[in-house]
Amino acid sequence: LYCCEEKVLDETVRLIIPSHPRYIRVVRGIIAESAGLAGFSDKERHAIALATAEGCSNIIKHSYENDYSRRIVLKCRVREGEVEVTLRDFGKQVDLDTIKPRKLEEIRPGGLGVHLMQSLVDEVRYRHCKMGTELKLIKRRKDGEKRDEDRTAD
Amino acid sequence: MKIEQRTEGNATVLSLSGEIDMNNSTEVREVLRQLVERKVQNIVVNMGGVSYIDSAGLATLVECLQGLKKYNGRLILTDLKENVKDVFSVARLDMVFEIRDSEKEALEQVAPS
Repeated sequence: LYCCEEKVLDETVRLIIPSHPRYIRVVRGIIAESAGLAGFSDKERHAIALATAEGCSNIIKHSYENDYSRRIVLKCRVREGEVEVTLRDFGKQVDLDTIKPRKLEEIRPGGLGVHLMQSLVDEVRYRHCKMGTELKLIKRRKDGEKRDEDRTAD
Repeated sequence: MKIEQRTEGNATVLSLSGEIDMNNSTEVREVLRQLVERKVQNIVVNMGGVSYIDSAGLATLVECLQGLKKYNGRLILTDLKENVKDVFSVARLDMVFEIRDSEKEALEQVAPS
């Protein structure tokens, strides 16, 4: 008797990148592909990749003050219908109470990154570590949302 | 990131292609800054080739818009791909910028009557 037991998806991707903006594109690619494995649609994959990119940009600008020679540690936990991204830096700790989206009625450049992150994923959590800060972004697939491939198959 | 610039009637048209992000938005910012410095009245930015934009890219365009407002200049964005349009919408900038479906439509809008 052969029994095919379906494994539950729960895998983690780890990556360390230099704190240079040119590596953000690499991160986006990994996150978008991982979100695809978790069953997200193309639109949602793009959303979590952009939110992660904004997290990396903020680390480079604020924690590392544009020092491109530091490192960012990325962890992406992939489960069916959920992606949890953790970004860890070892730079300056920003007062967590000051990390707020700017008022959108103020039309000015800058300050949009936090708003985009909060709008594009379900949870945005910051935590100060002994050295640096940890940012966690969690996105869950909405009930009834289908993968693009499943939608095509209907 | 590729930037092409040409003049069409009374408008300067910028055709952008590639990604506008933290890594390369300074190139776009510089081109737009020069146009604003020259007080160009109508700037049409064809974004048909732009596959990705982040907050740094949005900030570049907001900066240009603010510069233009000082002398009543006009900035029109055209041909936005769906995913790029979504980012404008999430940032609620779709109500701030003049966005048209096509470059042709934008040029008709700024043509002298």
